[in-house]
This record gives sequence, C-alpha cells and structure tokens, in this order.
Amino acid sequence: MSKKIDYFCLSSKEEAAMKVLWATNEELSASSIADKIPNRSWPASSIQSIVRSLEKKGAIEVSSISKIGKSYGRLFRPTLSSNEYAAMQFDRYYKVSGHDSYSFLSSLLGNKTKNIKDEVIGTLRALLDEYEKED
Amino acid sequence: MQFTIFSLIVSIIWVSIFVKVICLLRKQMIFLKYFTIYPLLIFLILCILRLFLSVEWPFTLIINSYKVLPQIQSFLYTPFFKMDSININLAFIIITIWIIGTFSIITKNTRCYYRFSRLLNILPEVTDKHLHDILAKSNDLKSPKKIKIVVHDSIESPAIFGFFRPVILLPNIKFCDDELFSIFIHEITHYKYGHSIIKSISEFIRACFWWNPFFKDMSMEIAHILEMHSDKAVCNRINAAQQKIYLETITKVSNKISSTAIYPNAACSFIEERNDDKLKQRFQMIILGYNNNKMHDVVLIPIIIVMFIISYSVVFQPYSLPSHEDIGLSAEVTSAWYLIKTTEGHNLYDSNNQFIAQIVHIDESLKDLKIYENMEDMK
Repeated sequence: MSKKIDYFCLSSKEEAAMKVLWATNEELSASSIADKIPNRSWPASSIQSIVRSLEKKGAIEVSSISKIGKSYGRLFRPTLSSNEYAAMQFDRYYKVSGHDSYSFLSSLLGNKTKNIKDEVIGTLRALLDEYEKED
Repeated sequence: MQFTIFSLIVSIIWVSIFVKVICLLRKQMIFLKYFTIYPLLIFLILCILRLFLSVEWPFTLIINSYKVLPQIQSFLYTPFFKMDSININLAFIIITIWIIGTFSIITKNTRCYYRFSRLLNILPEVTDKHLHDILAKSNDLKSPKKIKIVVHDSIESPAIFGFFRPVILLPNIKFCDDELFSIFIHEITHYKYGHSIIKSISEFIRACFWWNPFFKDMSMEIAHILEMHSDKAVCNRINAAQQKIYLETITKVSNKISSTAIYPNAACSFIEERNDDKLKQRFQMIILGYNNNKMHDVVLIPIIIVMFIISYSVVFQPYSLPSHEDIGLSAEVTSAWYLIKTTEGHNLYDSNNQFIAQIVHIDESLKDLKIYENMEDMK
C-alpha cells in the first residue's frame, strides 16, 4: 500500500464497495463484495462494472485467483487504506477550497490574510507566560 | 409592507453601517468587559434579519429625490442597445454580473459542503472508549445525541460539522484529558446553540452580496463572536488550572493550522480565524474572564432594537411623475390636447390645460398632437 497512487474520486457505489474491502483483511470476490454491502438498492450484477471501474482507477488490485464454486474467480484487495483515501480527498479538498470564493475580490481590494503561524504563536505564548507569571 | 429596490438599497447601507459599528465595538476590550457578548450577537442577528426584511413599513417615510437619484436612475437605465426585446443598459449588466457571481459562489460552497460531508463519511468513527467517556462528561445537551468522532492527520483544527448528525473532527495531535474535555465543550456549545445554522445564513448573505466588503466583515464578526460564545461556555465549566490548559490547547492547535485548510462554512472550527487580532482577543477574554453580568445589557439591548427600528424610518426614492403607460388614459385623446417639452420627455395636457401625464415615448395615439417648447409658447 506504499506505492504512489494518482488522485481519484469514488462514486457512492464504488465507495460502498470499498468500505466492504476496508472493513475486512480478507481478499474478496466481486460477488462477495456485493453480498456484504448493507442496504444495497442496486442489482448484484452491477458489481462487475463497479469492480472494473475501481481497478481502472487503481483503488483495488487482483490479489489472487481462487476457485469459487465450480469456476475460478478473481479475489480483490484495496491498494490503499480508508485513511489514505481520506488523506487524498482532504488534500484535494484543501487545494480546491483553500482559496475561498472571495479571494479574487479580496485581492482586488487589497485584503491579505495573514498567516498566523509565526506572529500569532509568539503573541499567544507571551500572553500565556504573562498569565502564568501573574498566577 | 412593500419590497422595493430602494428599500433593499437602504437596507444594505444600514447593515454596512451597523457592521462597522459592531466591528468597532467588538475591538474595544473595555466594551466586552462592561457588557456581555450577547448584545453584539443580537445586533449581528438583527443585521441578518434586516436584510431578509428589506421592506417599507406603513410608518416608513418615503423621501423623494428630485435631482441626484433621478440622474443616477437615468444613467443606469439608458439603453446602450436593444437585443430582441431586452434593453441592454448599465443596470442590466450590473445585475447580470451580480447574479452570476452569487450563483457561482453558492454553487462552490454547496459543492464544498457536499464533498466534505462525503469525506467524513469515509472516515471510520473513533472507537476509543476513553475518548467517548470524556465526550459524555462534557456533553450537556438536554437530549444527548449520538456524536461521531473522527481523527485524521489531515484535520488541522478540531471542529464540529453537521446540522442533524454532528461529527466532531479531531486532528491527530496528542491531547490530554483536560484538553479534550474543553475541546468537546467548545464544539458541543457550537452544536447546542445552532452556531452552524447562524454561520451558514451569514455566509449565504455574504455570497449574495459578494461585492460588499462590509458583508465579509459581518460574516467574520459572526464567526468570531460565536467562537467567543463557545469559549465563554468552556470557561464557565472549567477551573483556573484547566483554563490555562485550555489556552495552551488553543496555542497548540494554532501551531498546527495552515492558511489553506478551510472547512466548509457550515463547520464550526476550534480556530476559526486566521486573524491574529481576533485570536489574541479570544485569549485575552479567557484570561480576563468573560462578563456574566447581564445587568448592563438591559440598557444596551433596547438601544440596539431602537436603532433597528429607526433603520426602517426612511427610504429614498427618485422622484418621477406617473408616465402615460403607468396611469393609462381614461379619456379619448382629442386634437385639442397638446404636449409641452420637458427635460425628461413631454408633459401631456388636455383641452382645459389640465396636466394628464408625463410622456417618455410618444406613441401612435399621441403622435399627431401639437408639441410646444413651454407654456408661454402654447399661450
């Protein structure tokens, strides 16, 4: 799970399938993924296209081929954990929303948001020290 | 009760003035020492109400402007050209830009909200019993709701998100029990008093009036006062030693956040402001202690309400005589009727020299009438 994965976004159906894989340590076949999705409102046959799409996005990979019933089928496992996927989404979210919708207008008006990091922490620390001294 | 574009303009002007007054008052520590934060909060909520109720009441005095406003109106409505049946004028262009801007900001905010809620849906709920015990201890809701807690490296500041199914977000920082206790009280206070709803409404107004910098200030002031409201709730429930820990928690979180990590408007974050003065003020208020004596507010709140009512007292409108199209003509136009030229067009008079209407465009029914330069000319 350490290899670099390009950004992708999951649809709600794909997300449901991924949640099943994230919740278990086992490799699962497409049909068992479909069976384990709670409150599934779509036909189980749709799982094949969902799995194909997940494979294409690089969210899952074939871990082995196993005998399922009378035939052989592929077993899947996720290529990234739910935390890694969330980190990817947060990253994307901050990039898209990081500059708020008014930043263009703000820059026109000359408003600059200060980065609180350096100046403020120093001020807060000084206030805290003063408070501690008074005590 | 009547809504007009002029009542909206007056409303925008009053709210801009109110917001500036609120900003000035809020910056004064002496004001916050003497009064509680509630008058400012009430004032800000009245600003929101004032915008939603941009109307003329029966007691509103309509003041007609004879020179300035008619000239502005004429400048705005003079058509550049005609496209099908639409007159393209400056007012049309301004309103189009306004609507496009508002629509794109609201769309972006909605998308951010949707993205973020889906994102939180992916994150597994924290199962640590100890964390849930601290949450239960800090939860003073009358009917305690199931609150989901999520922890992630990408979360920079603690926050609460969601109107109906609240989710508390925690950064992956080591917090001690007292720190967590105060963070939870802070976030639950946001939920308890519907701060997310107030913030969302103020952000909606900001999006609608994106061109007005005062409305940005209003939104920021609301966010800041709501943070102070939550701080006050925390301070009321913790002792002096825990207050020191609370201050350290704010510093610790401030150290982690970057200017790019912006939560959706509906989320109430522990560190809302990337503004040093506001953060410093929160700090000072905790150190000095929030005023809980509401006696002084009894004087201030009626003044605020009177100011709110006064803001409805006057509406300025450009003066114009009713046009031919507005009033219609009850009598048949005869050849004895005539027109007198004016700066805005023509005035129509009947055979008894009685003024009938102001005419902007001379249509088919009036085109054969005599036109005079002035009354003397007619006589």
